[in-house]
Amino acid sequence: MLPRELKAASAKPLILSILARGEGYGYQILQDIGELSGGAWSWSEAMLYPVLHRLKSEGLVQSRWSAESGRRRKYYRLTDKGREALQIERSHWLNVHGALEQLWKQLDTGTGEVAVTKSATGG
Amino acid sequence: MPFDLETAVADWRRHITRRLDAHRSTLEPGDIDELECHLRDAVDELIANGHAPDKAFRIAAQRIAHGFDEAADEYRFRSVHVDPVSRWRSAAWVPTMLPGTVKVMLRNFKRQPGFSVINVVGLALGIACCLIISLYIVDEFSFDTFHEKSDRIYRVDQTNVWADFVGRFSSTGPGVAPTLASRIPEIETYVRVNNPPDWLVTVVDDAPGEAPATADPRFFEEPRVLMADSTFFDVFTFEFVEGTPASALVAPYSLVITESTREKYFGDKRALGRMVRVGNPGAEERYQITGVIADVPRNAHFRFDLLASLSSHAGMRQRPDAWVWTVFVTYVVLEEGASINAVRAKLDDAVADEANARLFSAFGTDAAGLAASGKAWRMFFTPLTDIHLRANDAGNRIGVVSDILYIYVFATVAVLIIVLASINFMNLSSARSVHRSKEVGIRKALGSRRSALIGQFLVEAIAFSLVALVLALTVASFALEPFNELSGKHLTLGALWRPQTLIATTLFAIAVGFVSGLYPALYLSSFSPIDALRRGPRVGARRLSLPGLRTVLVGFQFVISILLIACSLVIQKQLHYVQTKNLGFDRENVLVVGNVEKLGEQTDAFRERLAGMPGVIGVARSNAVPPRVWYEDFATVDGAGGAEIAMNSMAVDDRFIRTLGFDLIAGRAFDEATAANERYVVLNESAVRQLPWPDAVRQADNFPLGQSVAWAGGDGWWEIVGVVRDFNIGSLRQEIQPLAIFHESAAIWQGPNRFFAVRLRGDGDAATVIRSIQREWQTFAGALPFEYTFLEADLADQYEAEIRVGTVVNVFTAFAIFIALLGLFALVSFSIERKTREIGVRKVLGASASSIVLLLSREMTRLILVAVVVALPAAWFLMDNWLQDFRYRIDLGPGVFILAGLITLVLAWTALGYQTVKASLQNPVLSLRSE
Repeated sequence: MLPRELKAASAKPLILSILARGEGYGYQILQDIGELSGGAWSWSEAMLYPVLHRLKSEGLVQSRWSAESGRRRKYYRLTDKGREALQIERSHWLNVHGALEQLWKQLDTGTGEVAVTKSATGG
Repeated sequence: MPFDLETAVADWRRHITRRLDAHRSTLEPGDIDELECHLRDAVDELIANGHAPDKAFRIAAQRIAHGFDEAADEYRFRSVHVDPVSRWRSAAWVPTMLPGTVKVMLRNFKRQPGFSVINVVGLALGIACCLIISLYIVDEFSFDTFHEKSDRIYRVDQTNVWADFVGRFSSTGPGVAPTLASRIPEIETYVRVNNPPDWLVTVVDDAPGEAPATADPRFFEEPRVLMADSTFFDVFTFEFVEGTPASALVAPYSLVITESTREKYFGDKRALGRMVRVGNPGAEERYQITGVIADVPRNAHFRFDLLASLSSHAGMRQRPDAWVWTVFVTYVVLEEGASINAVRAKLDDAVADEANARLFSAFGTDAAGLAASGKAWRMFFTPLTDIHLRANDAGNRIGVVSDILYIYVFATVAVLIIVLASINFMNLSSARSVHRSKEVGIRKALGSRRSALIGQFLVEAIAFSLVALVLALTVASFALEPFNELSGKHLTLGALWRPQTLIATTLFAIAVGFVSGLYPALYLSSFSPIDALRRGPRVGARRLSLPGLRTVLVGFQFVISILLIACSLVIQKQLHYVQTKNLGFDRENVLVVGNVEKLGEQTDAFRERLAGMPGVIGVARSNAVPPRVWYEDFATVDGAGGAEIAMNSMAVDDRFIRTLGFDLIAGRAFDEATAANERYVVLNESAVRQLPWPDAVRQADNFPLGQSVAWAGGDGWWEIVGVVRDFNIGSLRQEIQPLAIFHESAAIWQGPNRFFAVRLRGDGDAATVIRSIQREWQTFAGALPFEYTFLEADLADQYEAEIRVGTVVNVFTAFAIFIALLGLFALVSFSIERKTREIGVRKVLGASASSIVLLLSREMTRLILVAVVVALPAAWFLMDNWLQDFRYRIDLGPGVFILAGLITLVLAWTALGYQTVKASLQNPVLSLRSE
């Protein structure tokens, strides 16, 4: 199970990325997240909707009500500003990801301590 | 109980709403719907996966509920970001609630259209009057400001040392300006302007440079001619159409004319270089036109049609240095930045030094001696822009001037009118508010804030005043033309529609609306909702009396009305008096024909022809006709030891005294046409009284008949053969001056005998007689212009300014009173409406209609009486001051003031009467049922 802080932090990029594929509504987004994580993250409805609403008030997503699928649903879609925000999020997450990956690779190959010592003596 | 999904969902909705509220988050309308949709999707999927409906619902609902605790932070985070006041209630900001305000306003208007119309019309009339008066005042203050150097131009005035009294002259001798300019370096340049007698201009259609054609000369009588130095256009700013300013007035016999004159003389042809002839046929001078300027603006204190070079002036060439020949109006321009006070300080010394020698020869004394005798010769620099309004005490000037007093009068009237209209507006608005206390109560109960209510009332008041403004602008546009006719002004719509005027009036209207709306706004919005709703209308009287503030305001309106009525009555009475006072001669049916000296030797033949006409009683000839008695000189008697008095004179023929009906109280007039007439003189009573006779002579038999008078303007002695009762030779503002009437054959300096006084039969048709006289004139004089006036009109013309101002004040007084009555009418009908039930009860209990009328009007009558007491001293003070201008004036008895009070009472009663009588006659059954 994903820690609460990480879940909260990843909510925005996750939702933006899902909506980047096309319009979606709350239940569907939740389904997608469930599939992506193999059900391990246990995202809840109560978690999702406030984030969606916040994204909307920030102008990153737009919403509309539609009954085209038989039930009246609120559909969300990315705005241009949302797309930009997604790019920024993406670069943040890739940075973090890259840094962690590098560190862990060094740990795996045993070069980590050397590197640290080197930089300590050479400085 | 079987599971029902819909019931379960509805329960869930209630629960989740409470739950979210507990998280202090504010939900938007669609949020719960969205969650419900989510719930249903989950339930559907769970059922599809094989769960029973009730189980599926439970799982889905739990899943949603579970997350809330975890997501509480998110919700709280959001709630902070939401505006604590919901959007549909945040309408305290006036513009956002404007549509609602307007709606309420229109509803109120529909409910009481009468009051609303009176309210708006009263204010509109007030603003319109104010607007027109403001235009008048702005125009008055604009005089002479169009000259580029207007702030540096001064007119040189001097004390009038000639006559018995010390007054001011606005003209000086030709030598004054050059001397001052050489002694006071701050003087940049100067111009001297002379105002010659009327010109007779002969225009022959000859092209420039050609010999005068013989064809059809045309004659023009030109009263508005000035002669000026070549520096005229350096000092004053006039727009040139033809020619150049610098050279236009240099050469002798140069002439600049206005565009209108050019059109009159030459049609649409160019005028530059053309010649005109000036003077009587046979003795003409030829002037060349060297410039054409645009017509002189109406707001110039002097106006002219022709402007000749001063170098053409014959007398000017002979004595250019004279200081005592005061027929030149002198203007100087100071250098930029020069201090007028510094210049004025140098003035006295300059005058004293330079004038000593000249004064000595003229008066047998010097500057110090004159000063000691109380007639100091001093000079003054009067700012150009003060001339129109603040210098009307200076005589011998060019141009008609006004008086700042009239500005004060008009401004006062304007302020009074706008105050009246605003009071009305306030009174009616607050009275109307009775009906609106319920509205206020309900609004407050529904959560309206006080600021929103104040906004509502202020916006309403301002909206009404803006509507009134639009109406006022329309009214003023239509009223401008009649006003111009009354006031003799030429105000234009252009001035009314200027952006500055519009901005100023809009701001003004908003201010009036704001002030008018402030009282009801603050008062009404202070109602507690409980009071407003429970007790209902509580403004207005439960007893038959007006509430305090409104009583004071209405009383104030009465004070203003009475004041205005009293003043306009006094002004009318005085003007009537000056126009009908027995002047000592018969002013009616006397036609004055001018220019007769231009007929030369044919004058007598012309006279005989007129005298023979059926509508004519008699024809007399003279050099002056009241009020234009221009000739003045010094006279003395034997044994007076050189003492002299200043005396006016006329030269008349032997029929004049009889024709005008002078009242001969001793001796005879020049009854027979004898040669001895040339040594005879007739005096008026004042002259007899003032001439310095020794006492012994005064005791003589038949005094003053047979005594002799020496006249400085002639040679030798004249024997007194008659005395006429004093008559007013000029304006009634002045004391009657001593007057000597000489025969036209007397060898004195008397100017041309240019007038015929033609007495017409009172019962005849004057127009027919004038036509026949004109025909005769044409046979004798050809194209020479025929000029005539009626003596009565000439006399009345002296009071033209007063008559105009009087008429204008009357009209505005009428408007002011109308506005006041309008307000009174509305207020009374309003308060009677409130008292319908009381009147009904009184009638049921046996009150008679008349007693109710009395009851209803008693309060108002008492108020008027108080107002009379307050207003009359003010009116008396003002009018007494004004009357001091007149030497001959009406007695300011109590009559006018009583009349003013009565008029106000009658008018107020008329406004009251209709409604009180109607109310008192109403069937009590109806009135009691009405509430």
